[in-house]
Amino acid sequence: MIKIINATKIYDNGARGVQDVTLTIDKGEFAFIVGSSGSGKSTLIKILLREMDLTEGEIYINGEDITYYGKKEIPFLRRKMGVVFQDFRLLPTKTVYENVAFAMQITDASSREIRRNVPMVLSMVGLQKKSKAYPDQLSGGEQQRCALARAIVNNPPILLCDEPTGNLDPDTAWDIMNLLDEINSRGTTVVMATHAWDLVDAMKKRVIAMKNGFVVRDVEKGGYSNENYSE
Amino acid sequence: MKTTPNNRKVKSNKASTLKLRNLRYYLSQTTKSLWRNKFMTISSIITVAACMIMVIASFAATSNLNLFLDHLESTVGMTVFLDEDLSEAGRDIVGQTIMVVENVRDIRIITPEEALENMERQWGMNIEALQGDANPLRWSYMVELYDLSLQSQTVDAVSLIFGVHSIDASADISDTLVFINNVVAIVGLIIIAVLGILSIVIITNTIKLTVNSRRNEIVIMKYVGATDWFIRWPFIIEGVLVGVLGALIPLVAAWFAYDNLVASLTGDTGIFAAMLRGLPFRTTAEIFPFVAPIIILLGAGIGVLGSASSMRKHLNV
Ligand SMILES: Nc1ncnc2c1ncn2[C@@H]1O[C@H](COP(=O)(O)OP(=O)(O)OP(=O)(O)O)[C@@H](O)[C@H]1O
Ligand SMILES: [Mg+2]
Repeated sequence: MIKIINATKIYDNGARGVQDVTLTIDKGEFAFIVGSSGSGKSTLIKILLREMDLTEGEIYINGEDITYYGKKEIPFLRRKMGVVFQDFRLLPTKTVYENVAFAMQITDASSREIRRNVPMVLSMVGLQKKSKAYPDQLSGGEQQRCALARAIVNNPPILLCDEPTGNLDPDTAWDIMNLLDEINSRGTTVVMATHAWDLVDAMKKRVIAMKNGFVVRDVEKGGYSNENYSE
Repeated sequence: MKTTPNNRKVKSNKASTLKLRNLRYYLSQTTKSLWRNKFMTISSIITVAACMIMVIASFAATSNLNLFLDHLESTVGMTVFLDEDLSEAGRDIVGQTIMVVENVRDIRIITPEEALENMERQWGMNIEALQGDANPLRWSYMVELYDLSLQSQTVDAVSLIFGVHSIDASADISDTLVFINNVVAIVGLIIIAVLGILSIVIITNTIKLTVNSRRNEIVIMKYVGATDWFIRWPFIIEGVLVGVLGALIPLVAAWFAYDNLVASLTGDTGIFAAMLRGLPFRTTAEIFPFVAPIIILLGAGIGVLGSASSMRKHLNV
């Protein structure tokens, strides 16, 4: 599903985002990306979204080489990848419903499809009662649910999350974690960059650890840290 | 709970085409941002309107001046006075010779009696002392020209003909008219160009405001996979709306005001009444059905240029 080969991203200012990363994430997998601040987690997510060009290496999504995708192809690539950020990134002038519907409007969805799918995902994330609320009337957890609904409303095969629980209290973080697990159990591949060691330790999923842009550890059913690795 | 929405196949995409399905979304975006930036919107519309008023005015002016010129060419022409001792046969020969001069359209002979009548009519009095044998006026030819602007060459040619005494070629009128016509055309073009550029700059800035107020939204749109064209269309529509509104307002105003303006210019109290009376004017129906589509397209074009330049500068899509 996701195949990264010898990927290196060096920023214009010389900062090393990721270095020589080779990774394969299979369809339906759940992978945590962990590592200290500046280790390259966000950069890894960004190169998957094709927010920037790689300095070296290749990326394949579903067998397709996306390394050199241009302006024309990138929007259609992103429709196959939902994305959730730490800071939710909702539109303050739109209601919950509109924020989610918006993601369908930009594709060629008909209004009938929109009217069918939006309530469906809103009830899946437990926001059906809040569909008329504006983001500033929601708690952080509810805002992140809304962002999650927006990310999956087009039913992408891949969901990328960059510290989705970073702004949430532990209980709410767990709610979001469970939602992500549920989305994953329906077949969506989930990649989640996080600092939340308790979640990582408890979930027993694949853990990819990064340091200075390198992948330094990659274990199935791992924990946030382990004996032979320390940050 | 099996609620996963259907996976829609990405359809073949000619992204730049305006899809009807999206039009409602675009229009709602556009009207919202026009409203949010209403002061800039209004000032853009006013600038375009000022530009368009100038376009309409210079178009109406040049087209009327051309009409005056045509009219004068057929009425003014020039008067060729003949030598006094010329016989009737001599006068005929001179007439035939004038006819073969280049640029001469037609000639008509004027007897001294006719000339006197014309004079009396012009002065509004009966000059009995000069009638009959006492008539001091000469035989003459009224000469009509094809092109009034070539009058001086024609005068030179005619004055060489044997039997021609003198020529009255009201050259000043024709020269002045040709000059005015050129000045109006050139000045009009300059003003239109300056105002046109100004309109584009102001529309660019109006749309920059919209782009800035929607920057967040655009970033999110890109994350969820909006094509560049999907992001661009609302801004293009916004530019076109401003341009077309700016064109329509002066167009409609001028359309209804034109007849009154002509009437007041030529009416008894008009400043130029003496000068303009008797001259033909283009009618509303001759000018506006022709000028309207040009003005509207021009407005739309200015709008598109404004939004395109704003997007190039401020929106990396
Ligand atoms: N836009 C950028 N321009 C220049 N350097 C950047 C940019 N973004 C990130 N970097 C650098 O790349 C390296 C990796 O950053 P990245 O954001 O991927 O880290 P991270 O693991 O996500 O950190 P955090 O946990 O704090 O979010 C850092 O050294 C950072 O300074
Ligand atoms: Mg980060």
